[in-house]
Amino acid sequence: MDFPKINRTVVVAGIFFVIIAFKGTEPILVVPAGWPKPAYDVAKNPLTTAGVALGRQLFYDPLLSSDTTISCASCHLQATGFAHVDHQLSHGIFGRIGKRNAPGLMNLAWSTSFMWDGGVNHLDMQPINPITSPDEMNETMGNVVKKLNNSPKYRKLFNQAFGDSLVTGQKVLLSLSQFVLTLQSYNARYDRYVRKEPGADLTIQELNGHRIFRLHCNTCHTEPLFTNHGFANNGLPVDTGLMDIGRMSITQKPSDSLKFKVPTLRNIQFTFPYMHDGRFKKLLDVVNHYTNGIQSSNTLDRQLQQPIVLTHEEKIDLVAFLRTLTDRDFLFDPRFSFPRE
Amino acid sequence: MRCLLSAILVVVTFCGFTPQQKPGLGSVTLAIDLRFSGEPLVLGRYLCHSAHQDSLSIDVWRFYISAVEFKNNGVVRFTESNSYHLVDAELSNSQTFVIHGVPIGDYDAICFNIGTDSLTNVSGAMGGDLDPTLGMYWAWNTGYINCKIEGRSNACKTLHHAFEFHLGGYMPPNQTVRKLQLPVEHLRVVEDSTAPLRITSDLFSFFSHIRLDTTNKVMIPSRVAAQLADNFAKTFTVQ
Ligand code: HEC
Ligand code: HEC
Repeated sequence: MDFPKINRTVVVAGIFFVIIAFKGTEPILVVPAGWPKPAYDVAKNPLTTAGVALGRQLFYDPLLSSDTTISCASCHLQATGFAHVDHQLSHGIFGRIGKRNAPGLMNLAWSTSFMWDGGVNHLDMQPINPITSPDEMNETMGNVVKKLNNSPKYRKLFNQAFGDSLVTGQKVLLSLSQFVLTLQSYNARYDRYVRKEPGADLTIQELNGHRIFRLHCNTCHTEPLFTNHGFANNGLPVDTGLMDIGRMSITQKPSDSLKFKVPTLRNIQFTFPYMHDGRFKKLLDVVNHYTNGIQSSNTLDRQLQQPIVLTHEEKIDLVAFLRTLTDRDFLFDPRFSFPRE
Repeated sequence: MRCLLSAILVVVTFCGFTPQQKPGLGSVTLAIDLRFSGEPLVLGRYLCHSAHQDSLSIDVWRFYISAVEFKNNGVVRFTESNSYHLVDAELSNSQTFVIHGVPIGDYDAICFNIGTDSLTNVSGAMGGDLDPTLGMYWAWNTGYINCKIEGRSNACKTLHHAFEFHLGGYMPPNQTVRKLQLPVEHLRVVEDSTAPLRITSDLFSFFSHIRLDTTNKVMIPSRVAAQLADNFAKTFTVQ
């Protein structure tokens, strides 16, 4: 007998949300139709206009690095899906070069782990890594908090976001998460095609690419997020200079040796170079890796043990499909760009 | 003006009369006594460890106490909410804390965790004693450092003879949180007042179980970290 009551609440809440979305006042985490439930619990860190605005300021502010030269955006650029364009390994403070390629940042509310080895278990905690890494921002969390507490501008922004102007590590991390959570990409041509929007058809070439994708790639790069959030060894020959053992460095299990997190392929056209060490520049190089470059080893994924055979035309079609994952709304959304007061 | 004055008076009176505790409740003041070989620990001072004839000094000693509960006759009668306390040998005010809202009555045991449970470790950014700025957090392999013990010993053939134990890890099989139950005598909580309870941790026995020449650096979740967490848990007693 409780049902009618709940329904009413849901309807009221629904209307409420429509109004909010319509007026565009408070930011919300959009869950597109057909997508799974997000892993991030926004109830614990509700998105607010002031919280997201603060996170955006912090994301673009080099104050977070020890010599105020590097911001999050130095390595995560909007125009390239928040990846580090053209750099195989990310460049940090004093031009120091990190161990890994900076991945794109999008739809992270669905991610269950972060970094290429999955060593970070929660989105909130990710920023501590670049901030404190000697090769990246080379700062301490305590000092960041101190600098922010000394800034009247930030005291005001923290007050607006949290109702208290005292800056703490927790609030810095929560507001960065709020901004990063709004970096959502679900309006690629592929999405419009899936939603059957008028005029949003894919070409015959792209459709053929989609078919090939579902045959060979979809078990790991699973639609609609284009990742299954798992870890796999996709047969990359080991870079003996870096000796990056991936997931095993976190779990210490030999069975995880050379496994890396399956990355999303959304906006993949712009997030080059590719792989954890940025070894490939072009999508065609990646496809050629899957057809001709797979290196056998104890932990090589089962599915990749059978060779993938594709004609040159099929490879071109597959790449054409991957380009339909480019979301221009996302790449040019003014809400995500450098904040100008 | 008189109006204002009486308003202030009313407010002041009310504040004055607001009881610290709800009726039927009192509090317990928990003091953590940090020792080495029975003596109060002094950071940086050379201590003699007779078990291995080593001399050693302790420079950093910090750990979490969480999930505090009081029991009587085997029944949990009180569970502290949001129960996280970072104890730091360098900060004497971190070594004593008041646990509020304890129902009046007699208790015969205290239970608590040394460290933080797995849920805490996967819950994102937390505040207070769990704020990640406090240096008790691993960023690259996320999780709390449940206990940090650093110092020097002539037994360590490391740079500056340093040893570093950062005990953490919440994933099986190498969890490092340890649940303790210690019997207490005569813990009587009375309404509106605070009952003292003193718990001692003596690091002497911790070092008796380690050969510092071979085990002097533990910085990741591992089997050794889990063993050291067992040893650390055994250093706690109630006086
Ligand atoms: C010096 C370059 C650099 C800076 C500065 C930087 N990052 Fe990153 N970011 C990286 C690299 C490299 C990785 C991948 C690290 C790894 O896997 O080891 C990464 C990973 C991430 C991830 C995880 C993505 C995923 O899917 O796993 C997030 C989120 C992120 N960064 C956010 C931020 C934020 C927020 C800031 C600012 C506080 C920031 N980054 C600053 C280079 C950088
Ligand atoms: C067994 C699981 C698996 C299969 C099947 C698979 N991939 Fe991957 N893919 C991965 C993993 C894991 C990575 C990251 C590897 C690394 O960086 O070490 C990756 C990386 C990529 C990247 C680079 C992404 C980036 O941001 O750097 C592209 C592009 C890619 N795969 C495309 C494909 C295509 C196209 C197919 C089908 C032909 C495919 N993958 C099949 C697991 C898989």
